[in-house]
Amino acid sequence: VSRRILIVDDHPAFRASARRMLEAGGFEVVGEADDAASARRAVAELAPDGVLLDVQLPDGDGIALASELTENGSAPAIVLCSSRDADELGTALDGCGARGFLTKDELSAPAVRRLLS
Amino acid sequence: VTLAPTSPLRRALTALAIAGVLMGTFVFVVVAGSDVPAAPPLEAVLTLMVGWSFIGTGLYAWDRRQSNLIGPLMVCVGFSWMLQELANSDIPLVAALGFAADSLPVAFLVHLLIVFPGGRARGRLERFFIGYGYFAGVFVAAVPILFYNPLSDPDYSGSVSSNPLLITDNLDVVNGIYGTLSAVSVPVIAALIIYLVRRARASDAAERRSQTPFWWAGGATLFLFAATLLTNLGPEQGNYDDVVWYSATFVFATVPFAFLLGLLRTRLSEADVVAEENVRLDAELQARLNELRDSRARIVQAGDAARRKLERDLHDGAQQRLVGLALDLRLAREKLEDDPEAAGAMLDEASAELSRATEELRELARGIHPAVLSDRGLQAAVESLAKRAPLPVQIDARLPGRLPGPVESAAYFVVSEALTNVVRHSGADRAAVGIRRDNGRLLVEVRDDGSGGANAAGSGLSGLADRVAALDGRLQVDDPGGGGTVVRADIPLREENGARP
Repeated sequence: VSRRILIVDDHPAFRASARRMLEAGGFEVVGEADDAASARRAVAELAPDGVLLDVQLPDGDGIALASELTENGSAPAIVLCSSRDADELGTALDGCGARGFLTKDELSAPAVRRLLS
Repeated sequence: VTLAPTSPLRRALTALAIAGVLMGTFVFVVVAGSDVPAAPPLEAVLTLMVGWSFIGTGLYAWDRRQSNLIGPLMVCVGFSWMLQELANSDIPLVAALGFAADSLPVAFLVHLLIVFPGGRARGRLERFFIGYGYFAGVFVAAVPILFYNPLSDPDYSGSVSSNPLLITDNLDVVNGIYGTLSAVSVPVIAALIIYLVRRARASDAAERRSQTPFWWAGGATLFLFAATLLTNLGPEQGNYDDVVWYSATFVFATVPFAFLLGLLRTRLSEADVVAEENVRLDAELQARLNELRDSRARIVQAGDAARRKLERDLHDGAQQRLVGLALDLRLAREKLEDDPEAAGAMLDEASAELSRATEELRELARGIHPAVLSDRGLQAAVESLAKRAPLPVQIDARLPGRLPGPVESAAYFVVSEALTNVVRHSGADRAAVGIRRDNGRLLVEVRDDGSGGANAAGSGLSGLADRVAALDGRLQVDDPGGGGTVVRADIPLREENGARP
């Protein structure tokens, strides 16, 4: 089961809330990243089991980053999240390699566990 | 100036026209009816053509430019031409008078060419030519007539047998005067032609367009007249003299038409001027349209950019805080039973976070449109801006009552943006805002004591410039030197801007 999680989001307040939420739910949050570049480095260094990945990053598109990360066979499982609805993101989510999508206010440890397993 | 048909000058011109018609008819009858061999009907017709065309054109020019000498001079040429043709009469006194007037038309023509088109002689040389023309024109004919007896002239072939003006019959005096004056006049006329050519070449394109026909006709006439003088100097050469003389007369007859052609060309060039003016106005209008289109496009873009920024601000600000709050509240709910103390701390944190989110939303709403502006007007809104500003802002505003909504908004955002710039960029210690109504306009001024260097092209201010321009106002950013920046807006309080008439 994926337990080691990396949180990628540019809003520190949200990262802090998500960390508390996931840790309370039994996950180990191994790192945080605030943009796509540091997310790539963190994935390479920390080799997390799962990544909670914001769709909108200051230096790029989270969906594209998900495709890029999952091309590799030993890639982490990815859950995309956004404060926007899935409807607003259109069809880009399909086939990007992510396990699933959550809006930020739906985020909970059980929901993440369900998508990752 | 258009004259009333009954004005004194009009009546005088009409009288001259009638006199011209009568005299022309008289001369035609005299010349055509005389049995002078040198006066075939062709000459009678030519006489009318030259006389009437000069008189008619001269009267027209006189009527058109009353204070210009051109018209009167042309009329004089016409009358004197008909007068000298009377030399062909078989009535002795009439023929003698015509003979005396022989060279007057050329004297008037010289005067006319010199003063064309202004009507005034300029300089000593021009006055000399005119003076010489009259002197020679009178002297060469009026003096010989006193000594000329047709009967004793072997060349004379007319029918007049006596000269009532004769004092003494002395053909040598007559020939002497002719020979001398002709010999002197030829170089003078040559000099005159050269002078006129040089003057014509110095004129500008527009002048040339209207004057060239006249210069050509007048110059050619002078040239041919000099040629007739030369042929008179030499021995008789069959009909060569006649050819030259008729050529001179024909060219002489073209002078009035050349004058009219010049007027016509001036009219045409005036039409060109109007057309050029239209082209210029079109270009100006087009430029103004382009400016309006650009400014409208910028206003639309600015609106788009403002909405994007608003979405961004909501997304990054209040929304993130609220999302985080949702997670924290859910977590606190989960912990409530196991760890009430931690849950309480999380609720305190959530409460504080909620206050921050509310404050952010309030700030955002004020940026969209401040309630104080719609509720209590420009002065109150600007005072509230000053109160929130992180530096002292002195307000000098006297605005009793409300202003039109669009003007209040534009003025408010000018002050708001200018103060934002003061805070962000100027390093100023204080700022001052002045707002007053003046003569149907609202004048807004924001001044600071900072480092200066602001310019109107800065994005915030250029958007405001468009907004002010949409109300037909102006926004100006000055760097008065010696520190500080002054932003001024000048907005008309017009009906179109929502003002009551």
